[in-house]
Amino acid sequence: MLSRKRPRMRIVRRSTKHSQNAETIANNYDLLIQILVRLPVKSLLQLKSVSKTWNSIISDPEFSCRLFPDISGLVMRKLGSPANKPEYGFIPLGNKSSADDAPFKYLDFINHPSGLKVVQSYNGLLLCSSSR
Amino acid sequence: MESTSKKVTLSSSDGRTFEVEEAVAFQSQTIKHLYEAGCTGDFIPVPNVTGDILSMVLRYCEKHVDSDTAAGKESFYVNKLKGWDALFVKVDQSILFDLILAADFLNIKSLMDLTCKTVASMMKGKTTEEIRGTFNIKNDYTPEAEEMVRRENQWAFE
Repeated sequence: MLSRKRPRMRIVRRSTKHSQNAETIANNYDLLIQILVRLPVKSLLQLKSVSKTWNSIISDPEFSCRLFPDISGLVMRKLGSPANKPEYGFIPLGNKSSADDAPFKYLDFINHPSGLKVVQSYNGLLLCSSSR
Repeated sequence: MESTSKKVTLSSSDGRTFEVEEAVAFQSQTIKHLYEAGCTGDFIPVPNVTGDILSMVLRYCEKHVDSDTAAGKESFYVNKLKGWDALFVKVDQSILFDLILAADFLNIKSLMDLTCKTVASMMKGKTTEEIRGTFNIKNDYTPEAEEMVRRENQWAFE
């Protein structure tokens, strides 16, 4: 019994020591954000449930801009557009100038009657098809 | 060589003094700016940073002093330095947090990057409860609200 108790006490003492400087960092949003932007998206979504403050930091569009500084916007399929002839819209992320830097906003590279369809995408690379 | 390189003396929050070469101390933008503005006397005070942490930071700066030079950019050197960095941050969590605070105060970008990255990767596998414990965060959610946030991001927990 005694031998089980001792290490537990040591752990408690350690964690209170952690919390002092860790707490300072957690209360300094600039520092906290510098740590959070280095986490993968999946971890960030989990961390939203830590507290309301963390949720609002992670949900803030400004934070997304720091997380993905190279992303100027999203190409999204318009709701309700037919599957065989989808329409896409561009949603800018971040400030206006970064949206202006986007290499393209419309999928109008090829003038085809059925338009372009995005088959797959990965890290900003789109695989499009114009057949069908 | 030794005698020609200029030295500066730094003084930690607990009164310990460290004499280092200018180039080493100037890895810290804060110290560099203080020095350039002529705001320094016989020694440069570094409040909020203890001697133990300051000596670690200076060890890091000494190691990284050549990283901006052409020789320092060679891949052999870069890889060696990466290995050194990895060992450098193999310390107790609380020291890591101290290093972040010191890197922030002294404005040493690469050390900030290294320490924040290390803390981030340490956070990766932890549960919500463990994170709250580490940073001493009070859970201000109602059980219902927490459950809702969790459900909204369900896939991240799978």
